[in-house]
Amino acid sequence: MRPRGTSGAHARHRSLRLAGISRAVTLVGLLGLPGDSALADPAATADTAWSALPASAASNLRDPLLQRGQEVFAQRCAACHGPIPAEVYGPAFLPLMPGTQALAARYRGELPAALEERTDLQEVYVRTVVRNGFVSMPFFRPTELSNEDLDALVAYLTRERR
Amino acid sequence: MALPPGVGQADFDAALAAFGDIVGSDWVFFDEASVATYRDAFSPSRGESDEKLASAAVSPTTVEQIQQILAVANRYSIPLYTISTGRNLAYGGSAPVYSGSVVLDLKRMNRILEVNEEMAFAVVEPGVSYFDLYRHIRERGLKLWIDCPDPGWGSLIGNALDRGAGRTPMPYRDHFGAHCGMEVVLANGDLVRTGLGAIPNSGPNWQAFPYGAGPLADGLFAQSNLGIVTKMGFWLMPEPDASITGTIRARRHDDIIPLVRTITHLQYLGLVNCLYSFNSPVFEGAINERMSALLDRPNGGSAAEWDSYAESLGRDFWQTTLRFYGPLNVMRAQWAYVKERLAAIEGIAFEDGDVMQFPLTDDQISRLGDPATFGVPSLSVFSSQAGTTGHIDASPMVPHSGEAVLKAHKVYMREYRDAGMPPSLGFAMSYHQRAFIMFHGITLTLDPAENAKAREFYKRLVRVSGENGWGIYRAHAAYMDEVMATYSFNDGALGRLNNMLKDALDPNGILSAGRYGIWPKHLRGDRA
Repeated sequence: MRPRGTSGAHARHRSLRLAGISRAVTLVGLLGLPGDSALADPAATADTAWSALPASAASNLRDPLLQRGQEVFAQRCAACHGPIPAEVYGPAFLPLMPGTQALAARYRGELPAALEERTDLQEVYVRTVVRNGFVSMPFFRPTELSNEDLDALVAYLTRERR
Repeated sequence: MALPPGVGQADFDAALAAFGDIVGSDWVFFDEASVATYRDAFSPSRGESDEKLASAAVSPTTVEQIQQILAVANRYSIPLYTISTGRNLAYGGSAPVYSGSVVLDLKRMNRILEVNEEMAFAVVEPGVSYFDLYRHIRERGLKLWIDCPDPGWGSLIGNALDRGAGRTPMPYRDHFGAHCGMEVVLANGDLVRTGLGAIPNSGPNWQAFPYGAGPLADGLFAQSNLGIVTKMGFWLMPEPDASITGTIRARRHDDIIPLVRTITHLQYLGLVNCLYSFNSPVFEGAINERMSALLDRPNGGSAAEWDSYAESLGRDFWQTTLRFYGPLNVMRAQWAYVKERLAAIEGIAFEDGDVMQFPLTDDQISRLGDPATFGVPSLSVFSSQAGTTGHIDASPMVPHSGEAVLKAHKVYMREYRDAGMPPSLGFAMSYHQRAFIMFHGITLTLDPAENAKAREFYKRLVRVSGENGWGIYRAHAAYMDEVMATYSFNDGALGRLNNMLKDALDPNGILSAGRYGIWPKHLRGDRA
């Protein structure tokens, strides 16, 4: 018997067998289900997310590729490139959202500093920055951000907007 | 394609093919673009001939795959270099110490194996980041905190093995100190569990008692290259009720002596357990002519001379903020007692800070100005890097004495001045139980000439720290030999011991050659 609050490894091992389906499953569907995470794919689940932000709420996007791109952004990019909060809570240390801060300094209002607000991003630019880095932004390995997830991210950031 | 030194093309091809059979060909990387993602993004030698570069990478997902990879590496004498999340930026990133190594990338071993709320521990694999564990805990509503370093994308295991630290109370912020139980694959493929994990079916007891019986092996696998750690347990802090702060300001140069004596005494009693730093509004920032002249005086300037300078600026000499975590009435009593004990220092000033109540709401978390202080991972520390291409970090350990803190400030300020480097000296920070870290983060740019200066200065800081007995606690991958050379008691006996262990545990020298100055026999040569 394990004490209360234990999320068992065995249930988790079983769920690994189901990992293949996780790409099509939205992140929201996995939340709040202890032991039911598909951990084989580092980018597929909330358990392996990078962002401290809550996972993206119900998406207004219909295309599964764009939905996945939105999730990848929330998990992989938003901790640096999310919107800057209007008001900080508690003591301040360093400015939040370094990526957004850096782009605000670079573009000086000529372009939006938060990447999700950009409508001019080009595929080659996104791919190049992710895999090669940019100034103080480090690059990302395929084991951190798979080629498939990079495709989804590119599709999401370069999608047609109305 | 680059080859590992001393390995022929046919053997390398055979090894890569075998790696592909083990992990799947998608997870063996030898094309130029993919291998380039294993560069150190903050390399001090970016684009230069001595930049540390991998020849290839292989990324397993299981212990069994690691064992099979080791068999292949032993057969073909392939040098491997193990990384977990590969985010050890400012200490070498994902690049090998020994150029040409094949990176063994454990990022895909990313399972959170257990989080036990009642016994307050987690067991994770190397690819699990602080963000991952934080989110796992938050989603399940568990009343546990993690302790994370400022950049939250690193690995719990990788950071603990490099003996990193975070910013919540002791003992949790000393990440190696707060671990309990390891699983390690040895170079010969044998699988070892330390502590009570060596008892079959010990269950959660593995994370209840770190020692087991017999020699404590865990230390062999931190800051070393004697095995591959595949699981680690970590003690977690139960979520406290609340947190308050109290700020202390002291006017004079020598006030640091009773300040350190009293606060560390209270720390050793367990009444202060937060991360705090002794900031000096007088010493901080660029070194102007008056400061420079004082530094050239005997002992780097007398107390009276520095006090006169501080007075002319209208600044307090010292400032620190203590944070308490726990029930409100207990914290208020702790803070009241701190004030009582320090009241004898003439002119000392105290300021009560705000109360933070836990748990925080999602909205509060998303706006936290200092997330790591509350065990919330973020990347906000990179705001300090704007416009640079990173930094290299050297962090000497200075004992808990005001005299040592004063001396260290003056010694390092002179070094920055003499080298013509912009000061990037951190204050005396209490990351560890019984010594201060005085962090140095030396900025890198795209200018090779500036970076050459930064490299020389880093080596100089290492030497000066060693000469003063202030050991560097964690080495940058490019300067591990230099750091370890300062640990030279008895003509380098510690290094000889490390070499004996290396020869016994990894006779073919396939694991992370050069890490922390430990080289396999065939590469030791002139380095010994």
